[in-house]
Amino acid sequence: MNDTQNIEIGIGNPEKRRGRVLRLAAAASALSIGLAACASGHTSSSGQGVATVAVLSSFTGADTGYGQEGMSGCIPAVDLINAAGGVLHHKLSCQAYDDRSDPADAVPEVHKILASTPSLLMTLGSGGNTAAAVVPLFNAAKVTVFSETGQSLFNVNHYSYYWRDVPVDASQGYAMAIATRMLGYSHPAAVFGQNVSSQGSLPSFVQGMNLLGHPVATKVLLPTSAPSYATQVAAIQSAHADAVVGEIDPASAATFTTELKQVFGHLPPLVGDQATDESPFLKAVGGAVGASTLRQRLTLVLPVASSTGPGFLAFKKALLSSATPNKTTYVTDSYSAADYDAIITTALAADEAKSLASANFERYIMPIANGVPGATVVHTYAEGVAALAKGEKIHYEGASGPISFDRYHNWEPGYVLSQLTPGGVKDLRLVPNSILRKLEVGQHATVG
Amino acid sequence: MIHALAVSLGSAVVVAAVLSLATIGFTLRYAVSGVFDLTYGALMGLAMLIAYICASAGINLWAAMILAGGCIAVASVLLERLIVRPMLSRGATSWVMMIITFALGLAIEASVLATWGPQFTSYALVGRTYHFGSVVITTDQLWIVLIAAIGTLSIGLLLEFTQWGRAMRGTAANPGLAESCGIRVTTVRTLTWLLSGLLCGVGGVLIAIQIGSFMYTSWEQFFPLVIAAAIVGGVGRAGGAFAGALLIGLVTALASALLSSAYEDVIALGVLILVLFIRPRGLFVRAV
Repeated sequence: MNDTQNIEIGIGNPEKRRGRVLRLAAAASALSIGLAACASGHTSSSGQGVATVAVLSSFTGADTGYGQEGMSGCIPAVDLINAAGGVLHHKLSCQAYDDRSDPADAVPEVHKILASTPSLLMTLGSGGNTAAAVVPLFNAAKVTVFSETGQSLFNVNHYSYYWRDVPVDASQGYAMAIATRMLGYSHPAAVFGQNVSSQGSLPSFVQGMNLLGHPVATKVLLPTSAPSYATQVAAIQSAHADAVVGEIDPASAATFTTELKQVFGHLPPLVGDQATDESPFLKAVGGAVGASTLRQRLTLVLPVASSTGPGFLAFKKALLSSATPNKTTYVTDSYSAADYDAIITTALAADEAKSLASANFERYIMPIANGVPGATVVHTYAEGVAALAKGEKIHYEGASGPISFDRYHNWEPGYVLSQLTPGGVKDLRLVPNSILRKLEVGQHATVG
Repeated sequence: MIHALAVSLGSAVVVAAVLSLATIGFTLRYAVSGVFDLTYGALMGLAMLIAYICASAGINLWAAMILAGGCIAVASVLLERLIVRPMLSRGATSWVMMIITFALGLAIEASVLATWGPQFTSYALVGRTYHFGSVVITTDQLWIVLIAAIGTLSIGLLLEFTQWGRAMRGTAANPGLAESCGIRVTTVRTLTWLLSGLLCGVGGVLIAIQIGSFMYTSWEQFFPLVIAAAIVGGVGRAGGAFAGALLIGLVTALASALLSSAYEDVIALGVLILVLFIRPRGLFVRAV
């Protein structure tokens, strides 16, 4: 009798049942976030223990390789911090979580992190495909999150716990337009991947070329991981493009450049951005068209960063002496360097606030990164801790060089044209900031 | 316009060739055993890696491809004998088998990723290019088309004119009746899994050759195309599988050439839905 009633209730009231399930799911999510917020908020600043840096990034999926870049920044940072005694006597550890480049996989991972990590110092790594889904969750849980998305969505935002230490896509696109003209190309093909993380710079690149008086020859969006891009390559050939400029995910880029080389008889000049400087891209495309060919034909437009400064040298030394897999690959990886800096900056902020809770140390991140008058410039965690112990204000300049966050916690770097070398990248010429700022406000400009 | 059409056609032929063997293997497996095997993609990825390891050890790539196909064939037979057959004999439905093979595929993927890692590799082929009007094709792509054509033709002849082929068709059409006619259905199924495993492995390596660089998870992008080609062609038809692969390749290439590459997947999936709407069992299906 009871069974029958239960079945009838279930069948007869699907809306009610769905509503109940949704309410339960919402309650579970709220509970996990709430518990995590409590856990985060109640993190003790005294005693010994282990605090976690969660690397929520793509270890598989379209952006495979981002995760390893994150770990390659995390492991050396944590090694240096632990060697200096930890943060408030807490040793740090890096914990990897795979978002599979997909928000549907990333969100459950966020809940897992929040529900199961009692001493969570910060998270880093969320890229373009997942940031829009995960940043609000971390922000609601009052957990510091360093994101690696360039999306314009975050240019103006209200997330107190969100930080971005990679360039904004729109700015990157204008820089690529200027770089294209600096290299003497006047009729480029704009080729961008069809995934969210790849095409952020496309509108500003196209607009930038218009403002510079040289509209793009053709605009091509590459579907992710197709078995052939012959028609797209034919379109580029028909448009008589003199260079290929854009951002494509590694797997698609390997097939695309192979066919590009096949049809043109040689690899045409390529202009890429920070994502093109990443290890998975170089390995995939280098494997497909030849590493030396890629080095000869590819010019990178990268944020200005010192590859000789003390902050970078500390990062390099720590990385090479760490247990990071394939560590030499990541020495010049700007994302790994940015992640390393994010952790050191956050750890120093926690030290200054004398708390491991983001709610308490968040306000110290900006002054440490941007610097304040009279602050002591430090390049390593140990230097920072020593200066703080003397009661000094500190300004951290790390592996990425000086970083300056705006009021929305975004970084607006300068850019430099760089070329790949067997040992890393070599800077060629600076992208003029004056032209960049003109394009950003929609003014016409000329590259001399 | 003519240039774009010619390039699209050339691209479609290469894509069809790349997908065809894997699609035929998948469709044979389903036709004879009734199992929509979702480990198939993971096995394709495994074949890519096995061929890479063999080629790195100095074995000729085409021989490595056969070796990888052989390994996957053996793995497929083990899968059939140790998991599929016992589960079917316990009355597992096709849905249960889909779930089991899906879970097994994930387990294979997780195991390979744990040991090999998510790193890009390449067979590093350097071939000559040939120009056929607007179409540019490499030596490797010519080999791919040739291998696919020979493979498809051989499977077609095997199914039509050999005793084994007739036994496979009989088993696919009505296993009970086939058994009462003296066909050893379990042996036919085992041999079919062996053959489809070989096609799965060789098909996986052909995909890896075409895309230039790959990682283990590259199969995830192409397995949906294999399934789409099998469904469009009519699951269970070897010739239909090739025609389905050609249609998928042609539609995506034409969509890209005539509209925009941004709509490539939309058009391909639209055609898939349209075909199923008009002919729910596929374009070329008939009793096997």
